[in-house]
Amino acid sequence: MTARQAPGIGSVAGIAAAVRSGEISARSVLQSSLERVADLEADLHCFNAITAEKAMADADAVDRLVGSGLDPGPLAGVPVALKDNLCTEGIPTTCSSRILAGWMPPYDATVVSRLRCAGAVPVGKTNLDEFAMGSSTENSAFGPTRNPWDTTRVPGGSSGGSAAAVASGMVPLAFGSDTGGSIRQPASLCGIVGVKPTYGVVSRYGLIAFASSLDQIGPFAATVADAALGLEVVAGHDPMDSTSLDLPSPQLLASLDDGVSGTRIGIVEDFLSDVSPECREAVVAAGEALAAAGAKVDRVKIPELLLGLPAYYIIAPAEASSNLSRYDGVRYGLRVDGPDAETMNARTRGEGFGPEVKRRIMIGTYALSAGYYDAYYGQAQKARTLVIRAFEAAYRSFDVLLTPTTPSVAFPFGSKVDDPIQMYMCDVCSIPSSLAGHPAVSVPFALSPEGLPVGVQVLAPALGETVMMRVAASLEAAAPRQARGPVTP
Amino acid sequence: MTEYETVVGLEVHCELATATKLFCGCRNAFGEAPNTNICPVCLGLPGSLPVINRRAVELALRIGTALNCTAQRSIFHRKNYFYPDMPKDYQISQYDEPINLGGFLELVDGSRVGIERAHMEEDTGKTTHVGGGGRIREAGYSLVDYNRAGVPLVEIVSRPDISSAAQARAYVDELRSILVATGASDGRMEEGSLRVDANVSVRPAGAAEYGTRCEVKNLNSLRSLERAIGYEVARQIALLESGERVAQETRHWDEGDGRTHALRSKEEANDYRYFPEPDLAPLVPDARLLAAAAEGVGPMPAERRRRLSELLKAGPEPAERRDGSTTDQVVTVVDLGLDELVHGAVTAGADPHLSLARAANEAAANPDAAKLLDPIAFAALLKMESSGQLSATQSKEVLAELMTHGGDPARIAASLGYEQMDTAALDSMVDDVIASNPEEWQRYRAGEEKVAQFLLGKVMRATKGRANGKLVAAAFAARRSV
Amino acid sequence: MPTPILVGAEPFSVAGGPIGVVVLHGFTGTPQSMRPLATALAAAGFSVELPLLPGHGTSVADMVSTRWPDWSSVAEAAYGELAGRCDRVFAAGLSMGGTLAIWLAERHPDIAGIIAVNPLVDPPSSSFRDMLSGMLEEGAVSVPAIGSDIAMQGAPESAYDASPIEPMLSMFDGVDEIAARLGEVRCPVLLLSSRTDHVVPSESGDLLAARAPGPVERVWLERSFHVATLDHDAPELEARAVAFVNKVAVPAMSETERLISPEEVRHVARLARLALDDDEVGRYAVQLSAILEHVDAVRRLDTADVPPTAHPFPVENVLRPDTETLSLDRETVLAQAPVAEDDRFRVPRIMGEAP
Repeated sequence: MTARQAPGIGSVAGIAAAVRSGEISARSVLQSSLERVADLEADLHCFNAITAEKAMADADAVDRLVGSGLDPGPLAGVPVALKDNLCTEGIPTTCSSRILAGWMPPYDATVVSRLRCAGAVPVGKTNLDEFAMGSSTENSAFGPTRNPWDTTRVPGGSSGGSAAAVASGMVPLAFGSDTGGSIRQPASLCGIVGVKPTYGVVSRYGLIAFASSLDQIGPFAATVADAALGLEVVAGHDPMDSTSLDLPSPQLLASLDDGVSGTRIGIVEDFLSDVSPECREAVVAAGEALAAAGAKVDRVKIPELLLGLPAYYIIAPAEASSNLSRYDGVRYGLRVDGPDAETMNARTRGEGFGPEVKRRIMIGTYALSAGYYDAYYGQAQKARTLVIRAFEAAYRSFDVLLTPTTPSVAFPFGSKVDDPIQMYMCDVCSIPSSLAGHPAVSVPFALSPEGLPVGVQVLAPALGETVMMRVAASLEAAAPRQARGPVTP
Repeated sequence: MTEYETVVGLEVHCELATATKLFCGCRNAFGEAPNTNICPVCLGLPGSLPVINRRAVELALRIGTALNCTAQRSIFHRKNYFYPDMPKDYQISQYDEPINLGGFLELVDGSRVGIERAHMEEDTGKTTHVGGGGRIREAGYSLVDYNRAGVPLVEIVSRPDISSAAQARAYVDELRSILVATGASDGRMEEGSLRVDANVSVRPAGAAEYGTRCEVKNLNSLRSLERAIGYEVARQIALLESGERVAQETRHWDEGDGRTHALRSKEEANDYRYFPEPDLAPLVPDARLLAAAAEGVGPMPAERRRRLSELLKAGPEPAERRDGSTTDQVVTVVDLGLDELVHGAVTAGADPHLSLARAANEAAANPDAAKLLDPIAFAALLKMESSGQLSATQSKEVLAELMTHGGDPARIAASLGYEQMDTAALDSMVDDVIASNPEEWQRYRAGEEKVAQFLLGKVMRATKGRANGKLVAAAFAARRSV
Repeated sequence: MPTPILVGAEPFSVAGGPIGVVVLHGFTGTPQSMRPLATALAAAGFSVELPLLPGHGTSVADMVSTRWPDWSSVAEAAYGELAGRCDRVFAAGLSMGGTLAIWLAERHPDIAGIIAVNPLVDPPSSSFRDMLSGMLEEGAVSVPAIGSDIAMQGAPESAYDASPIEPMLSMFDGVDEIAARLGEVRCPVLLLSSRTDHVVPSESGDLLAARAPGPVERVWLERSFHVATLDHDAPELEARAVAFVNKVAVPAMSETERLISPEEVRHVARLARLALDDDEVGRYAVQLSAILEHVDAVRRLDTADVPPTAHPFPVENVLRPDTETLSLDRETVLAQAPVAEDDRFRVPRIMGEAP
């Protein structure tokens, strides 16, 4: 274990305040960030693209606003990393796939526009499992990202690049996407905070779709407060996304430090078996810490939640198989020629997609195909209802639920990539809340005996972000400082 | 030789006359430069999402009402298949929960054709095949224009109630009128606003089971539709008569050689893997949508024809029918949107049959101008004709002038010199002609009707056409009986 | 100082998937002769061990003191290596390598299958052996080479130019041993026999086909000589070997009935426009079956009164006004097109009409 704690370049809130007040320049903050990137990127490979020039221009623009006495916004000068499945106008957006290598969107995702309007400075596009399918970032067509805590191990996935960028102190804020755990699991493996909001709270417009009824964009940061600030800036209704809830952005910061006195917290027993000892112990310890802080902590059994994994691995690939049909070599991206259009399509997709993507497209196609729809997709949508009902029942007795974020700490490269089922099991604790559309957050809470970070997951009912983040803040306050990043490898 | 009956079901795709596309704000327009009305959504760029156009929903509901369908809660489904004109390689359509269910359409002759459903879906782009004479099978490559991709469509599916090529044509004709009348479509088949596919099968007369059906595509006009169905029915009958089976397949109508051709057979039927569209919320026809759908929509063609016919029953039967049958006139007048004019004229005192005739024949020559005619002025003119003040010829001329420049019929008549000839002058004319044509007059008095025309003609020539034929004839008749 | 290994004669090892194949070269030969087959098997996702047999691949002098037990123990070790980390292990070999593969199968009934290319199975006559012994007594150490019996021009085998006698006689002892126990070869066998083989007579293959109690699939190679792995029929040989492993391994993999067949995989791949070669089809059939097995719990749920959930939240009538917004600049869009022509996107000819 060679990773050591590192200060990073500052907190989101701190940087924004300092830049707004003119105390420091956005340019200088960016300099620090880019220097750190230059130091560590060769070892970690967090980025598919680093947009230094554009970032300088953005930072200078922020400084000009401050100089003119204007307010650049709540994220003034904050360097931010964006997962490479978020569309950024004029900047290659590849989903870490050969099929989109070099493609430049002609528009910005809504989240990206909102970040820029808030004064944030995008620094680059981060690596991911191809098309967000995976739990280790090993499925990237451009090589894996390494965990800053131990570079022989994975950072988790699919948002591994964003997680590692924050965990190594390159940027204080990053954004990823979460479909079955792709923000929370890497957050846990990298010792940082990762939030998946309620489905519909953050606009999906410009997020390259994996599974439409599950995908959500969310923030990574070293602290709960920073993550909350990031989420507040991007959340809220977007008319360009029909699934976006007609609500303003949730207010999280105001009550963040109100404590957990009287809050009813349920530890989900079903997720305590089949996880590694350190992950189980972290949850138990977390429960004790919250009880000591005045919460009412109890155990609860919700066996229906275990249906989540198999239901997810039908629904997500089914929607993905349709969402990924558009990559056909006709309008953009890779084209591998053929004597006719159909052959061209098949060759393009055969060469452009990696094996995990192909597996999921095929499972999804199979699950939707004639004769199998009812047995697989139809049943899975019903299993989804059972999961939602089970949560509803639980939330009558509890305000939030507590589980491990993921069954293990960061694992070595190559140890699961040949066994798809093993890899899918990484998501067993995070999937149920995705199916229900509920919010969830991973908070770094402990270190394993080998010194690797262990996260604990807080689940809340739909639109329960406020209580969820309040509990997360309490957990953070009770956690040992060395359990969280940033670290230097 | 067995008697066969024809069974036809029609699928009509109707482009909605909205300003923008179904899921995005790109312009919905025909004939513009390729790929100039595209955006991330209708191009299906990664990360794009659809948002439903309210007006398209209103028009879809409107069509459903016009076809007597039941409007219901509906959702969109994805229909998955690969084709270069499909930006997402799936089409957002409706499957088992469409917006309009059931219904019927009444043809001009009073027969009814059932409607299964009328659902919403997005249109595809347009492919042009290059090389090999523009036909797919021999083409070298294809070029795709996505201007049309995402244009809102309503697909109207009839029950297989149509039993002849002629009836199929009548169905599409009436449907087109209805769609235009609702304002949902501009009805321009030649621009692709309306596209028809026909499902054709035959069976021995009286048989209970349906025969195997073939889908016939590429029907670009009413004429093609009728010809293609005729050909296809004959083809299928010939097969059955020679002991062979009809293969279920899709066939392409070739206007050039007047036949349908089987397309390259596919290894397997398409499996569209329909599933509910996760990016869109369900549609519920609430009060607001239904009100907007109904707003400003008048009665449908069938209803208007009925009302016009009712109007005619009220007046006396005309002495002669020189200008075509009443039924044809009713159809024409409604088709051209001139029925309001006729109603207005009749309300102002004009004779119903005369109003109808003049509207169907003369006014129809310039329907756009005719729509602007003031019904009161029209009525005044018609009354002048009915009372004999103006001859038919004169009336038509005044009408033409009225349509071109508007104005007052009496003044126009005067300016054209169509003033009424005073009775005394007329009488003296008549007497003059009698006096100068004694032999013909004797023959007329003896009862020879034919010679009346001769005498009439003399007066008309002498008065340079100013005399009112009816009055002249009456004058002769009066003298005869003296 | 040990003689350096001849170029191309290095052993070859690939850690692949859970199916392993031991690949063995022949007498006086080297891994070079088996490289193409080993590579094809590795590309198909299998784990491969292709050892260099003792005394081989350096110089004839090194071989003189080696014997059948030396080679068989290396074969054994390679098998052990794979058996330790694979679910199923196959054995493949050319000539004496084929003999060794049979030897392994006789010792290890759990070996899933054998691929034998022109194996030596029928022991040579005693008169031939006597002749060789006689030459030994007269001081001869080796006889002329048996290597490079290849029909294709320009495809030499890296092999010794002489065959040492004592090792050869030892090899024949080994052949005696395996020939006597052919009744124990119960696993499926893929036997590839060159029609024209100037080194091993066809009686060897006949004997194996006749005596092995398990299913024997015999394929005649019409255009190759003895070293068929480097000859005209090599591509077919490799394809058949891969297909054989896939076919044999797959039903053995899952205890329950196989949930998705290669045919279904092909069908699904066609629907999804994914070009897959035969190896991929086989591999995905295995993996997809495993996934389907994993999600099977959902299929068996009792959901009689449970409605499906398409959306986490019930929203309705999300609509936008019918007002025009800015379209994209055509040049920007077409600049990203793989092929554009005439302001439109160009594609190769379309075979069918739109549904």
